[in-house]
Amino acid sequence: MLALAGGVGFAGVITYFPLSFVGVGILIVGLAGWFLQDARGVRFGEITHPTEPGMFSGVSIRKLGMWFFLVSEIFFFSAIIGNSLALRTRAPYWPAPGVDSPLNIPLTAVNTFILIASSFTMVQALKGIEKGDLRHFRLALLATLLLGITFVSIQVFEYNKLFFEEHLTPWMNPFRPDLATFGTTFYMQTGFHGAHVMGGVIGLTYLNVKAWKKDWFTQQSHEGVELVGLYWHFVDVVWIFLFPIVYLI
Amino acid sequence: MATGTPAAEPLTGLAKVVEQVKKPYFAVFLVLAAVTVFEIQVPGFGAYGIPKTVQVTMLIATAAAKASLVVLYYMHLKYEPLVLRYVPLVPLGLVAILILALVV
Repeated sequence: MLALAGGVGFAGVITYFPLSFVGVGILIVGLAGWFLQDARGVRFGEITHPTEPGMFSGVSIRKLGMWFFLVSEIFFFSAIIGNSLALRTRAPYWPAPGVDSPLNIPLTAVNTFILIASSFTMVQALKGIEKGDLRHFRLALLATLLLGITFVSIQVFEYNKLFFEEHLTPWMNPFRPDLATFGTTFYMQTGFHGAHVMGGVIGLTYLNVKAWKKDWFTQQSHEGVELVGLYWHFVDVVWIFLFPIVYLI
Repeated sequence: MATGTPAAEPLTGLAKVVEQVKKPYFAVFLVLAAVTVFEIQVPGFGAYGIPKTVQVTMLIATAAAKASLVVLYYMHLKYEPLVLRYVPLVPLGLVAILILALVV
């Protein structure tokens, strides 16, 4: 449903704008269905059965699904990064980091540390629930959420400064026409990554709420934590590549 | 705090050391942080006569190393069945073709 909503929504943005509202509608219906299931007490954290005998026998079917989803995300970000590099190699001018680039490297370096630290706390949360240590699990999960929110907040702060003070816009700007392609690629890459971090923050918020419910996640039943964790680490991996490509090269 | 299952006994002594060696989460975090500190210095290497091509190669190599650590240890791919390890590995060839086709 989310993929369909995204597809229709983006098709609407590119072709006929009212169509994007259909995408928003599908998104709302999908989310409503999910929340309805949750309200009815469907347990998303249950251990699922492994796949049937065959190539992937012994692998949890939901974990396999998450990995296939992440593979689709690899293609998504590869297309965005590849297109940005293609535009860059053909651009007449490109600001050099630390010389004339408007990007704030020290601030983003701090943000990079924050995201790496959040990956560490996320894996600590999983370690905690695997050992049945609920206190460790809850604290680590809360720390991950707070670090994720901090990352997004710093990015919003950076966007605000770049857009209004440095005149770095995603489109041709009369104040800085030389930065048009640079701005487009910068916002496209970091914006889509930021949207993914927001998705992760929503997932982490859900986990944090459920972590405080009695017997929701237990030592035996916590696959939901692992799946959200996989997504969160993937978001970190994408940033590990984006940081040098966008800010340092 | 009740979970319905008793909490596992905390590991001590040799068992704790073995656990930390098998799943070195904190060591991986330290390496990731240290490599990031190195990466931030790379744009300044031009002042020492190191060509841009070398700098770019360094940054891509360090990023690939960091990503591998996260995928292997934090995403637990090192501990998964072999067939699952190929799932994210196989598309990387296609990704390389895509990037080269767009850039070159």
